[in-house]
Amino acid sequence: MIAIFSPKHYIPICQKIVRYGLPIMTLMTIFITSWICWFVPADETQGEVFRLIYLHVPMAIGALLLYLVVAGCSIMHWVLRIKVADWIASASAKMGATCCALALMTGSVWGYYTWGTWWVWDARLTSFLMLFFLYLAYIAVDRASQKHLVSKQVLMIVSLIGVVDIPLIHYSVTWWQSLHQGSTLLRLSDNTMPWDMLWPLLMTIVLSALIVTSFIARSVLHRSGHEPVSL
Amino acid sequence: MNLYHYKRMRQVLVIMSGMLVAGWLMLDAVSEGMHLYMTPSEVVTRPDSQVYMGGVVVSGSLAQHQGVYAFKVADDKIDIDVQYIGALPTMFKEGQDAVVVGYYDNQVFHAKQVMAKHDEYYRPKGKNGAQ
Repeated sequence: MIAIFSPKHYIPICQKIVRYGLPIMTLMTIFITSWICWFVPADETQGEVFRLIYLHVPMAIGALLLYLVVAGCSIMHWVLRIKVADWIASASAKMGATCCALALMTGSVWGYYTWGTWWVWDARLTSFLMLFFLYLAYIAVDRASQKHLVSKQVLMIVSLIGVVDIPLIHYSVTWWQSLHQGSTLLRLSDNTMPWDMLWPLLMTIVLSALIVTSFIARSVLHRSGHEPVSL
Repeated sequence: MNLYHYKRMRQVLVIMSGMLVAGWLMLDAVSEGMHLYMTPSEVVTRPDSQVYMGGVVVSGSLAQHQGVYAFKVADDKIDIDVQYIGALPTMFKEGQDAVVVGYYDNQVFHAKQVMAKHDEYYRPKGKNGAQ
């Protein structure tokens, strides 16, 4: 189990992800985008603007899960002193912040066309904005720790502060009355979404996971000196 | 796991549980204020202050007279007359949920802003003949 954390094992894995990832992701992007634009039906009540779900939901899921990766890897680096965990954490923080910003922006546009407002201080939106600032805090402390200005322990503690925000975001729409609607994906037994709308959504989630993984792999290669340029 | 790992793991667990307890206490303190809106029956007890009021727009209550929209917002107990000047959101419909911002005065809620709520259900357009 520990063997995967040695460069001998993870470097070839990262190289494979980077090499085969790009063509696969390009083809998937073309396929899924055209599917979403031409073959997915518009929504009965929301109309065409509902298609923003295919960007908004994967980005929001990415932002939430990547924070758990950041915190998990920071702890792993602090306790077990595994170098690659630190690299994964810092790449995940950047990807997570990007996902978070995209989720906020697409959500804002979607909100303008459906709710009639760009922004409202409800529990879901506010806690998600907090997550974005937590990511920025982590990235700032991470840069300082790379220059040996602060200890990795501080970085680990900063990552733990944000962990409280993750369940808060998830339950914000059930605990409090908010403008944001409840979860569609976690209530599928309730038939919230028909399969011809759901399949592309699941595929965009898989595609986002692939893109994030390949960015992280590229960053790991760069930090370990195997790749001259990091994206 | 040697003593070094054990010590660091214990440190992580202590910090994490501290964060969770602190987070829990903070949430417990602010929880009441985290609701975005109040129901109509809560709003009538607080006249003249700016509030967010949410509820279902009563079917058949929407009317427009000289640029002023009038409709009723209801919860399961009472409904309140709302007056609003401005453009309604495209998804604002009778029978759907809406959130209005303004103040309640003299039996009427004067809205400055109207927002439409939508649910987590998605249905393809035109499946039931309506295109």
